[in-house]
Formats: sequence, C-alpha cells, structure tokens
Amino acid sequence: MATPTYDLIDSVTLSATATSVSFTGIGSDHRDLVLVAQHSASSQSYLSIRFNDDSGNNYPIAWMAGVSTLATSNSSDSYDRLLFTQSYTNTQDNQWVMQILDYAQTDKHKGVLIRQNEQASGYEHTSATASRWESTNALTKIQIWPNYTLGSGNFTIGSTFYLYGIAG
Amino acid sequence: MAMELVETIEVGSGGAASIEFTSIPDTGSHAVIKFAGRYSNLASSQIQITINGDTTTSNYTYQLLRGSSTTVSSQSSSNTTYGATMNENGDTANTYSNVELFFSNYASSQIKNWQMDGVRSQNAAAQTIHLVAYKWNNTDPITSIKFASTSGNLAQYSTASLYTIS
Repeated sequence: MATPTYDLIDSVTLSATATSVSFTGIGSDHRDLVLVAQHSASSQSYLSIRFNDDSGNNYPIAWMAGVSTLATSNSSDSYDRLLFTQSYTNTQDNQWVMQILDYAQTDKHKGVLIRQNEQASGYEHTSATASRWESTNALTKIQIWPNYTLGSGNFTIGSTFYLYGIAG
Repeated sequence: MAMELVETIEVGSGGAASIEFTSIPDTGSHAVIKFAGRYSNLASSQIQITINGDTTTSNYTYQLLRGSSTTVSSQSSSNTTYGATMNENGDTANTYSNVELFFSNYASSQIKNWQMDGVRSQNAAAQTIHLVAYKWNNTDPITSIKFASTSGNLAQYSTASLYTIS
C-alpha cells in the first residue's frame, strides 16, 4: 500500500501585498514538512523565517551557492532566523523548497534543508542551505518575512506558499 | 491531495532521441520529474529541455552550481541546454544519472521557474553533482516537457517519471 505523501496542509496565494506569511496551528499528523514557495518582494533583501516565534540564536546555517561564475559557501552558528537572499521583481522569480524533518518530535532538534533558486535579472543564483532549529519543541508555526528588517517590506501580489505534510 | 504519478517513460532497445511528456494535466499545483538518464555515446552530450515546444534559447536561462571531484564551479547561461554532464557510454556499466526537477506553479500564469538537482556517479574520479536553477520566461501553463541529447541518443533503460503535487 502506498504511503500518503505531500498532503496539503495549507496554502496561501496573496491577493494583496503582505509584510509576512504565517502557517499556524500546524498539527503533529505527519513526520516531515515541505514548504514550496514562489514569490517576489518590494525590495531586495534577506528572506527571514522563524519557527514558533523563536527569536533566539537558534538557527545555525551552512550554505553553498552559485552566483554567475562565483561558487561560494559559508556557515555560522549564531543566526536568530533562517535567511537567504530574495528578489524584488514582480514576477515571482524566487522559488524555493524547504524540508523540515521530524518537525513534531520532542526528542531532537529539527533538521532543515532548503533549495532556493532566483532568476531575477541581475540577481540569478542557486543555493542549498542546511540548518537546524535548536529546539525540542514540536513545531507549530512558520512565519516568513521578505526582509531582514522584519515588517519593513512586502511580498507582492501573486506570491504563493504551499505547506505539505509527509507521512512517516 | 497528494503526489500522483502521471506517466513513466522508459527508452527501449536501440535508444531514443528524446523523452517527452505531452498533454500534461493542469490538475496539480507543482510537478516533479525523476529522471534516470544515460547517453548512448561518448560525446559528453548535454541534456536539452524544451518546454511546450519552445526552442528559442533566449527564452531560457539557468544558473548552475557544480561539484566535480575537488573542483566547485558556477556558471549561468541563456540556453535550452542543461549545463551538466550525465552518465554516458564508457562509464561504469548500468550507471544512470539521477536527476530531479521540481516545477512550482507549472500550470499557473506565472513565469516558470524550476530547480534541477542531479548526479553523475561511476567507479571513477569523474563524479559530479549539480544544483541548477532554471527559468522559462513564459507565463503559459506547461503542457509538454521534452528531454533530448545534444548529440546522439538516450540509452536504453533511461527512464523519466512525471508526478503532480496537488
């Protein structure tokens, strides 16, 4: 018998600009989560993501990226959010898929894998990011901002966000 | 609401010039292709991906990040050609490159972006992993996706499966 996968939990398609997008009340019905996003924003900045409103330095990040002919990578253990660059065009040129593993388990930190692609002219890049939410709490909320300065920018109309559950 | 198999295509005896999914249903939000491919020649061919029959190279752009042995590199281009190597005739027998393509909002009126992650694995130093961002600068819904080699054929048993995610 096939295992159910990619159960749609919730989706958001913006009909008006928004300073952030949230998924709340996420239940513990699945093993992993997958968030699929395609969007643009009112300004070029870092996309910011937090879980359960946690603003502590609990998001270590390692990433690698290709930007034009530059291949680069870096890591840090002191971020207070997940973050990566995103575009500001009106054509939803920023596309990414985020996996959150064992998101509801209370016996381990949460592994996060992100594949992100941006095709806005002059800002083309592709990246892979690995992170870990340093918490043993079950993840129940995901909030996404289009800017490093939270609340200072907008996601544009037509931006889409889909949250799926993967059975385990 | 789930991930559903639409179609699997396997190359038969003698190879084939291309694999193509046509009449892709618009019932999903996203589309995924899992591709196991190998070239039937030694020409270091590359994969050409054509959406909806559009062969105008300037309508496609890609950004590639590649790790090959101890070298990491990056490149971008405007082309229908996937700038990555795949397993080919002469590589370890029975090895097929594994590639996954993820198309978000493939049936929408947005510009089409997708990611492709792939690997060429064999019993030799020349092993490669690719992460690619691709864009088709068109707002039409995607109804067909074609894989072809820039020279020669895709080898027998090359396989591609198309899934939709609702």
